[in-house]
Amino acid sequence: MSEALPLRELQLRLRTLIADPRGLAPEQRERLVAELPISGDARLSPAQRVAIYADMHRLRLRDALAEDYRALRRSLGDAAFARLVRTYLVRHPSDRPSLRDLGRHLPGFVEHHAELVEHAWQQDLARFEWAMVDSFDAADEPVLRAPELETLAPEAWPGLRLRPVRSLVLLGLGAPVDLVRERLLRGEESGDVPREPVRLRVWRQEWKVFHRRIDEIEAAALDWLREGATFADLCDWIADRDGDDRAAELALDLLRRWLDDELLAA
Amino acid sequence: MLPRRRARKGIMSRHPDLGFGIGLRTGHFAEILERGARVDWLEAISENFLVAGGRPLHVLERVRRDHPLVLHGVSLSIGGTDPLDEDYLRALRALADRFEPAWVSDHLCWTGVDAHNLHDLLPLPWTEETLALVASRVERVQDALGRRLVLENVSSYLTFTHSTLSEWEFLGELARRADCDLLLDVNNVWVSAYNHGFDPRRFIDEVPAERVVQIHLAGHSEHGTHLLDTHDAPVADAVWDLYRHAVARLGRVSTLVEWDGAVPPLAAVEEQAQRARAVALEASRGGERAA
Repeated sequence: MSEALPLRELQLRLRTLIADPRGLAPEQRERLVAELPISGDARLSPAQRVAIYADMHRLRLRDALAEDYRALRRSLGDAAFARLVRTYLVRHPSDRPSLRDLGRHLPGFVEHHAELVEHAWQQDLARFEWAMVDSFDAADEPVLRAPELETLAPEAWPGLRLRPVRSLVLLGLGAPVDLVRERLLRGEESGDVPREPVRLRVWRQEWKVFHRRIDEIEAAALDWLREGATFADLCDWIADRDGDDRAAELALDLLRRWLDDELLAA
Repeated sequence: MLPRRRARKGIMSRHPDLGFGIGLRTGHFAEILERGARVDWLEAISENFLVAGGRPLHVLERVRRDHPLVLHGVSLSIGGTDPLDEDYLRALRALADRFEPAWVSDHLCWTGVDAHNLHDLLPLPWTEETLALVASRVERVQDALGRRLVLENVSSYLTFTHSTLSEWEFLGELARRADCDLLLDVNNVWVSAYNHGFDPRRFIDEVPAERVVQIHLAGHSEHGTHLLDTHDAPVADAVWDLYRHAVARLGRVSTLVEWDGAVPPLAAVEEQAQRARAVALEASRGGERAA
């Protein structure tokens, strides 16, 4: 007969039984449960009752990660994805109130555990999918509109500081996982995925998350703006890179694109 | 400031009767933005809105503009033995201050230990040790939130041999000691009663009526040896009967239908809320109908 335990000890032992993602051997589970003051009856033994919680826990966390990493799961298949989740949760058990944050370490985790994915591009896919999660509920803020710039005095332009919206995530990836994700979510196979550098920006416009491929200039320019560069700094940098005669034209092209995509904070 | 008291069948309630509502779920966001929700009120899972911005908060603003709202948490871990999560409480307070819910609720359970969140509503032993712990934590939470807390009975699949109180005795004593209110989940009563072999009507009859400010209804699933609180089906006939019994005893109480798995179109969940209205009207007019 098991004895009453202090509540904390009881909770610690139950945690081991419910959440051990490595899975306890049946005999080990039986022994641990037998030490706990849990009632059983003819329908369900104490171990079977604890197993109900363990099963629900496993499925709930797997489903939460599958929701955030829909394409990664499709590309891996259910068994490999479940193996990845089990291994991930050993290293990164949930430590936040919301399941929204459960997958935040997964991109870094798969980079260090390449054996858990089949292809290197799946590491990029994980980064891309998490960027979309982060962008989805980033802080709201008013966006800069063209009319506000049109009223700006000419002498104010050089010192103008343009700040990207907080939902913007810039990604430098090693494969075209934007296209791969589309295919996977349409129910198609990933196909042969070439290794090629791809720069993406992910951002939220109104309430929807978008992504777009960008070139090296735009990626660097957005980085510059994030660091607090002025419009004059931006033009100077482009002039150094592409020559004075094209700098203003290129800078204005970028600016139009960003305004159209509501990428700049007011 | 606490909500004003309101007479209910001779009992002084500290919360208004909001009528019949449904849980706000992501799968219904588009429909709600398009045509609104055809119910009296909505309940939002607090954790889903503890975010910096984006569509969830936009939808919640829209809902709050048109309807009374309740915030319902799943991570407070009021029966936990880790220190209360002060960051979580601050964030929840800010959310409540922004959206001014009719009340804030969570569950009588623990959800994690040793900084490891298990994301489940785990059962507690009904002992004096647990009672003292939970009562002191409720008081701390109520101070942090600036509101009286409402606690819900959970579905459970195991009980502890060293419990010295029944669940309803524990709830009543907790509400008295900590001066908190109760959310009576009728489906959870039915599920736990089946799983542990107690009389669900006794639970309803013994819970302190003056503390019950809300009722939950939901569907469950049958697994031969036990029932699971899956929220993935219409409310079962047996639970409707138990709800009639609850209304006959408690009078009209704000009632909400939860649906979380295999979520159907919004209209199907709204229909369940309308059915709750009809059942409550029948039960409160003529007393309880035979099951």
